[in-house]
Amino acid sequence: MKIYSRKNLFGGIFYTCLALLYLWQNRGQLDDISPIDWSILACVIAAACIRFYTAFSKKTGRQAMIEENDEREKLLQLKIYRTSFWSGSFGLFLIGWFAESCAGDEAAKYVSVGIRLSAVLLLLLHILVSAAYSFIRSCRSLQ
Amino acid sequence: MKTNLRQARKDKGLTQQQLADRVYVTSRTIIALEKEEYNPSLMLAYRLSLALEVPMEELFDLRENKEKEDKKYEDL
Repeated sequence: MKIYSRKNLFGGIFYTCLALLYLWQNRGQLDDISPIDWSILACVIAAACIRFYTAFSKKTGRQAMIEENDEREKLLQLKIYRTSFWSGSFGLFLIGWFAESCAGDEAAKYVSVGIRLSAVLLLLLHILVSAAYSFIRSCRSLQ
Repeated sequence: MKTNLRQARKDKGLTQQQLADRVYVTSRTIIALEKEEYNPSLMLAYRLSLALEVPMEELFDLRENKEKEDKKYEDL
């Protein structure tokens, strides 16, 4: 069976896992599940079925495949990831700074320092991953 | 980059969606190309050229665009 859309395949697996997790959590007491919960579960299962159908169906999968591999969309996504990363890190740093200035007790100050530290660590991780990626790429190009 | 994509598509009698289906991209990409907001990859440019039966040089005004770019660098 050919996979036409990986994104939808992973979506289907995700929804299936979600439904199975819910059933596993409520094992032994399935009779006590409320009708609202059953309807939510039915919606999740239906979503999983739709995702799997789209992932394996040639007719609907073609459009999904085009959407996934569209070069402009990929470029746009990359730009969105970059912008969200930098704005997220900056936002985290600002929140930490703001929390520190508003902190009343010692514990709140520690939390704010932790937030700022996480922003710095995130940046360091980004630099590390970028360096590793460029190193691997240069190694590959030398081969 | 300046392109003649819209004109070439209309001459061929295709809609944006039909052209998008022929070159395996979304119609949003065709719209962005026609609005000159996006430069296509070499493969997409080749596909468009084949689908519209217009030489790549003509479709994307390569000569004119090159001259414009040359001028930009010469003025530096």
